[in-house]
Amino acid sequence: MIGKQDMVRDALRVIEPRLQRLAVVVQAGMPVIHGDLGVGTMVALPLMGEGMTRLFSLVVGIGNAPDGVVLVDEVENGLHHSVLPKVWRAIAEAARQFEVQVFATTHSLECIEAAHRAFDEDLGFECDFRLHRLERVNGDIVAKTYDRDALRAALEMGLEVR
Amino acid sequence: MAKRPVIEQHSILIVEGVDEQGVFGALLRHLGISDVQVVPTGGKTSLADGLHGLKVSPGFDSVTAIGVVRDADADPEAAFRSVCGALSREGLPVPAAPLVPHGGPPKVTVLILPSGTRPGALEDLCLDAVADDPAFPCVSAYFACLHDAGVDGPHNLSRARMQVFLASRQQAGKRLGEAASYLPWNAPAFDEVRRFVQSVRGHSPINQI
Repeated sequence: MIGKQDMVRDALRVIEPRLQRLAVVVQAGMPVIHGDLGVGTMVALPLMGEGMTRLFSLVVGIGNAPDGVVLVDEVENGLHHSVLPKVWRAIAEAARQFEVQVFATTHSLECIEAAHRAFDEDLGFECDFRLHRLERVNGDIVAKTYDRDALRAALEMGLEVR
Repeated sequence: MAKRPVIEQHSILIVEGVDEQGVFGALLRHLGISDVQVVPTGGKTSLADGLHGLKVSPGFDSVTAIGVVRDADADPEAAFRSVCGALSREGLPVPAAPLVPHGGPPKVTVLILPSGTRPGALEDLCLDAVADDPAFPCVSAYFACLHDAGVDGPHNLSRARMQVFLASRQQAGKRLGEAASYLPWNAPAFDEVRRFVQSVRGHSPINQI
């Protein structure tokens, strides 16, 4: 992640557009990420809301697994529904930069719809998005895979996709 | 947030829009059939895309019978071919002709409206069914009057005629799908549709009727 501070800052601007830079400030002997919001003093990241720390950990997690895989449980936790499409785009951008495949779980329809909205438009780069819905069939758990067209149709038809 | 529907029945009818959903829902209620589910693909989604999305939807693996309903529009044969193409792309059984069930499970039957041999749509079938209603001559007279007055007719005459007919009912102003309870389900025009629905349910193979 060395030298990628701007990338992390840009990702966090999805939630906090005032964020100008990030810095590590040691408080009581503990390093804490702070952000410059242009308010005259650095603000600790946790004080900017749960969504900021959530997105920070997602992006840093991706950055720390180059050419690898990142597993995210309940990806929407701590994130307001209105920022979810932008968060998905930030995740996609980080995944592209670090060549990472992201597996994210969710029970949230809003989160799925947001992912579809985010990936159904041109991101400026190739993004291979699939939704795998787990279903119990005859006692076995099977994955039903939605490509972009299947997910679009299912959402437009108002069908359950979880 | 409203609960999204899942496939809950072993037999499903895939229809185009909310009017078809209302009409076939009303027919099923008239026939006392509660174990056939009507699934509209909606106005924006084509049948091909709708099937693509349906195939991975919750409950689809339990479906044993599928009825596909589609308007003939200008060309009933082309409409049938289009349905067959969509079925084939999803690896579903492809019937040889409308109303001929094929394969299974899921068994697939296709109904082209108003029939497999003439152009038109759901509204044309419904107009056939209400042709003996006392209000029907008034509907025809209304459009004749418009013509005589030099008023350009509506683009979709069948839909307009159906709307005018429905305007003659006690609760006027409803769309066809909402006013389907006014349709005379025992009219001969609905014979084929009734047999189709019962075939999809699995009671009586339609090719033996």
